[in-house]
Amino acid sequence: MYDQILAVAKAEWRCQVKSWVFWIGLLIIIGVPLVVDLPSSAADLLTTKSAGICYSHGIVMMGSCFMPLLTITIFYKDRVTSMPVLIFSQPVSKTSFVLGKFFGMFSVYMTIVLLGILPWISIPLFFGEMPYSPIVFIYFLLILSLPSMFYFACLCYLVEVGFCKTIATISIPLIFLIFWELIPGFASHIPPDYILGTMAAGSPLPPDMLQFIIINRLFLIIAGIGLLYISTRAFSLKKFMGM
Amino acid sequence: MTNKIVFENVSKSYGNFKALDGINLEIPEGMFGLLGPNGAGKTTFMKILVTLLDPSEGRVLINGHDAANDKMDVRNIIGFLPQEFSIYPQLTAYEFLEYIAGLNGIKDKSKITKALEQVNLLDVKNKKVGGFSGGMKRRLGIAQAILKEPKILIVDEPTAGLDPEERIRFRTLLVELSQERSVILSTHIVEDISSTCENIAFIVRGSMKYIGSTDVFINKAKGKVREFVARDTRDLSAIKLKYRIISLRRFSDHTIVRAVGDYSSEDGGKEVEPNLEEAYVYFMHEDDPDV
Repeated sequence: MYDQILAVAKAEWRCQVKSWVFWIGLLIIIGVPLVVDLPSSAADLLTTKSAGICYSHGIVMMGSCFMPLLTITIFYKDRVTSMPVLIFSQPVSKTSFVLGKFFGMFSVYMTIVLLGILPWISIPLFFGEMPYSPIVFIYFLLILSLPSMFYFACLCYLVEVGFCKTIATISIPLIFLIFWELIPGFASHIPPDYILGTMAAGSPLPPDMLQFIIINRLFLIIAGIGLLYISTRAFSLKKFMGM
Repeated sequence: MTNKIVFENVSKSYGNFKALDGINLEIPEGMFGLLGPNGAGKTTFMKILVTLLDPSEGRVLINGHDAANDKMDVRNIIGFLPQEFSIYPQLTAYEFLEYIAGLNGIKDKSKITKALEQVNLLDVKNKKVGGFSGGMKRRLGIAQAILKEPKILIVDEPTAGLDPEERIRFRTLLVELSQERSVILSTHIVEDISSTCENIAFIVRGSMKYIGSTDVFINKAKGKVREFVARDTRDLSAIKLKYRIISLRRFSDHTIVRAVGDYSSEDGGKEVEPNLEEAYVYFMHEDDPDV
């Protein structure tokens, strides 16, 4: 089963990185935050921690716009190529296919995010300073971005699998996200003004903040896994391919 | 072990429409052809065989495995080339086969090269599938079907849309592949079956009308095919009224008409040996086409 999931994910990743969607993703997820936060002089340069937090926050915000598009294209090519007829004549289960597709999609997003670290850490070089540490960027990515984007990707994916309708995949996750953000403690991203200022300043996090981060991140990961499980159950080849 | 495929009273309905109606069939070894017009139920038959559809009634046993309940076991022993398919255009031929190999748990990469070699696509293994011609895509489709070295190869309308040279090449490839495995070929192109299959099933409107040897099927149309000489359009119209015209050969002062139908002594003409296409046309248009 794991081999099959890997095979589907690998093929998905290969298809996506060769398509225009990948370049759109690079533009949205990396380009927009880079332009917004680009310093004009050495005096405006952020500290490594602040830059890492800015980047992580930016990719969550921009990733939320990009994820529905990525999700749609993942399944669109199956509908237009009838490739699933070939795939499901192989000894592959629906669960392996659905999970493989998801991990392929998420790995495309992660490729863009990891590539995005390069221009960000290089910013200080333009002002004759040492580059930012990539380790700090990855640290904030793991804490701030990954759980949020995993959860949001799972949400988009479930809507796409469940409804097989482009308009639903674009609108439902965004509407859901807006209302979800209003529930204290369960927001899908950590607001920078609330916590990140403290982290960027290098002060230790108060215990209640730390607890909030842990619970919030754990909740998102568990909720994401739950949504992914429902996706595997909701997937119907009949609905998907009209068979 | 010999391959055994058995259809036991298989029916498939889509709402009120019955695509297959009580099919009983045992497919013998070798190359087997499923012949029938468009919309006869061939694709439904094939999809049930490869576990993509479940029958509404009855069961299909493939080497003892029930196609509806033991899907994974069945998929492990069959290779399938569907009628309509295309491949993610961004993948190269090699990447596509690597994907299929991954789904089948094939770790030995030399099998990918071997499959590409068999279908004569090794030279273009690193080219994107999006740039392939129809024939190349079909051959790549066959490569994915034989990659796992299946015991049974199932091909649905494999030569539709191919040019004559590509079609001949494809038929030759299928016959070569049938040396090591059972091949089931579904098509409405009679020529594909006549040049490759020893046994056929003839399906019309979801029912099997004939199952058996191709030669016997042709022999059953003996006495039903005649050649007429038509001097003018009036002669031609008279023939058309009673017979189904198979071919016309125009000469300077007359036309040779080859036609099928029930003969009566006043019709004239000369009886000729039928071929599969003529037998097919004759039995297709019989009021009760049970052969």
